[in-house]
Amino acid sequence: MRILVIEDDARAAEHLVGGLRERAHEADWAKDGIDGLERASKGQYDALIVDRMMPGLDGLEMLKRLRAMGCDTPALFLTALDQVDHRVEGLRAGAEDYLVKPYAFPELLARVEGLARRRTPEAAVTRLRLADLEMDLLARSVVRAGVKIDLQPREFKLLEELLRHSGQVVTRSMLLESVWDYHFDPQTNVIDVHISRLRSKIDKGFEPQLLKTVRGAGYMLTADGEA
Amino acid sequence: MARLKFLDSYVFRLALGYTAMVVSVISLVFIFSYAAADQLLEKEMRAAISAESDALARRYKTAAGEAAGEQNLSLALAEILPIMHARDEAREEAIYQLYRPAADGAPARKLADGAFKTDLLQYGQPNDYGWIRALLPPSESSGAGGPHVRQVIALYTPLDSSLALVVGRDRNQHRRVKDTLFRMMLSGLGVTTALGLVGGAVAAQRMMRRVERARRAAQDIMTGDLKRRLPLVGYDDELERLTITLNQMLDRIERLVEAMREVTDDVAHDLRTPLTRLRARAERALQAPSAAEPDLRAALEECVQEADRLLAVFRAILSIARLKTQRGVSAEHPEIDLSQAVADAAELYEPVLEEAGFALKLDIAPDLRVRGERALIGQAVANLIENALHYGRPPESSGRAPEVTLKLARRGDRAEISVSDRGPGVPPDKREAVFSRFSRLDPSRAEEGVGLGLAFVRAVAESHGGSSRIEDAGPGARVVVALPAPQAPA
Repeated sequence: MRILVIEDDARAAEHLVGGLRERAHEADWAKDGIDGLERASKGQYDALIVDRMMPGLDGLEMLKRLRAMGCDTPALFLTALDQVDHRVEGLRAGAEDYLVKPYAFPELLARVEGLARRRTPEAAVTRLRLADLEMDLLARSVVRAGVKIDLQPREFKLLEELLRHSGQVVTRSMLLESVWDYHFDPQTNVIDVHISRLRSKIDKGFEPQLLKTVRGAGYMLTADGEA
Repeated sequence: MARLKFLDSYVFRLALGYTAMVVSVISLVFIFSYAAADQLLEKEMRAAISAESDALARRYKTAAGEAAGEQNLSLALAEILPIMHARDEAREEAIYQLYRPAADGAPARKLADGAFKTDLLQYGQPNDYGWIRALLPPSESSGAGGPHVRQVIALYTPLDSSLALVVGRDRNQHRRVKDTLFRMMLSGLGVTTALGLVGGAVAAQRMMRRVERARRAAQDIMTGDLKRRLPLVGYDDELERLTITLNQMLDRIERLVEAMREVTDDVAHDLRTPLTRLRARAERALQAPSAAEPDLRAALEECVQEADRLLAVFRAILSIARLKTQRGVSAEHPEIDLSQAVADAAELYEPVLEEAGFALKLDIAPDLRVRGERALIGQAVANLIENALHYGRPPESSGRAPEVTLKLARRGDRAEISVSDRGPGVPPDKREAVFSRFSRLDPSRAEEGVGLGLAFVRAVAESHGGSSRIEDAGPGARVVVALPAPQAPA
């Protein structure tokens, strides 16, 4: 992926760009809002990482202008402001996702990689499939290797989220947001226990194991041997 | 300048203004009534004069009959003079005179007079109706009040071709009445002015004292004594109401400042220790003589964990501070389905509880709605469940099975969310303390959790206009969050 990092703090940007490059992404750095607007508007990026608070043109305003110019490159907002209002404001300005500083790098990476997915319209999809695991969104049914699997509504949603991002890391807080609509960090490993329940339903007695734990980051649904 | 302090008082200036207005109104009334009185008195005087003239003229004509010439004069004098003298004795200022009218170029000549001797026609001529107005030079005999210019009014009545009667009055006769009137009015004005000024000064003084006390209190507050309040006097007047509102404002500001200070205190107190720990761990790893890679990796992992814990504390401190300082949930806030929100949180935690060996009992009343933030309430319920999970495990010796009961019920105009465990419970004297920040009942477990869970719960409850408390669940603890949920009108 080609990613543009718009961040006024040079050290933070260096970490970001370096980290992204290590994961085989192409990453560029724009040092402020004006610079970012100019580079992003040329439209050759798959994703933008935008710092919300920058001197001069701030992230919110920059993104609004960018969207007004017709540029629809998906954007992830980085911010130190974590109130609900601020999140809503960011999403309204045209950001696809929102991450509060300080963040864990795997979290950021998972979300940025998830961004590109959002460009493809999802509405038309009625069936999701990975290897021999199949989900019918209309019939609300899940079948693995021809065997019907009973899932609770929340488990169904959890699996749907993982399937939509199959092959990508999905973090715990991403799941908490998309499946439960919560934006806080629980002190206990609630998501892990939900995942292990789901795993026992979709993976137990089947091969290969699809739902993998990515250490230090989250989970991934993949048919490949290595995560 | 201290003596002129009154002039700086708004109230005094107000009183001064009112006094000036009242004085000018009274003066106007005075001028009008004085003029009216004067006119009335003159009218009465003229009426008296013309009645007297008529009577004297009638008397002369009856006596004179058809006679004429010199004889007329003696006749007239015989008829009129006694009356004139009789009247003179009663009233010194009365004027009775007989004249020979001017004829053939010869001026009018005074023939006879009463006590009043001055030749009146030398000072004024009768108008078309016969009235004479004259100003006479002062005379020693002009009665009380000393010498002054005398104003005279008289009626000139021709008796026949050779004789005319002049009856008049000294207008100074009314001077005494008018002087009295004038003095009364003047003293009235004086009293009004004095009362206005004294009243104004007293009111200003009292007002200044109250304002000054409030100002001093405000100055103390400004210089740092945030507990100080503006003094109340105990009357329910507009100033008192203003003071009460100002004091309420000060209460709110104090709470905000308090919340801000809590944040800085917390940051200083509770972030410093883990930061020191983090730093020490990193330093130790750096100084280790044989820094093998697995050791370094382990050290770094520990550092990251420590940093994550730090961030969690930091976030919790900030959200609590924000809840305390922000404008709370108001009447315009949208309603949420509280039953659903509580059920969602329960559903999220059910597997964790089960895995930890806790049975989860749900007793959630359906369709309870409150005004509020789903996210905050969800997080508060999550904190309550986590709290039960951490501290609500029954002691080994009790033989009780671990259990968490989550209940939502309406109680009057409140919706009560309660989470009970069957653990050791909270001693009554600690039930308030657990809601304060960084409190843990058992200091030996200080490493676990952040200790901000219940503080956050309370902050959420209060920002929704509700309350929180801990009860004895017999055995165990029950944390109750009560949120306002007005009964829907039937």
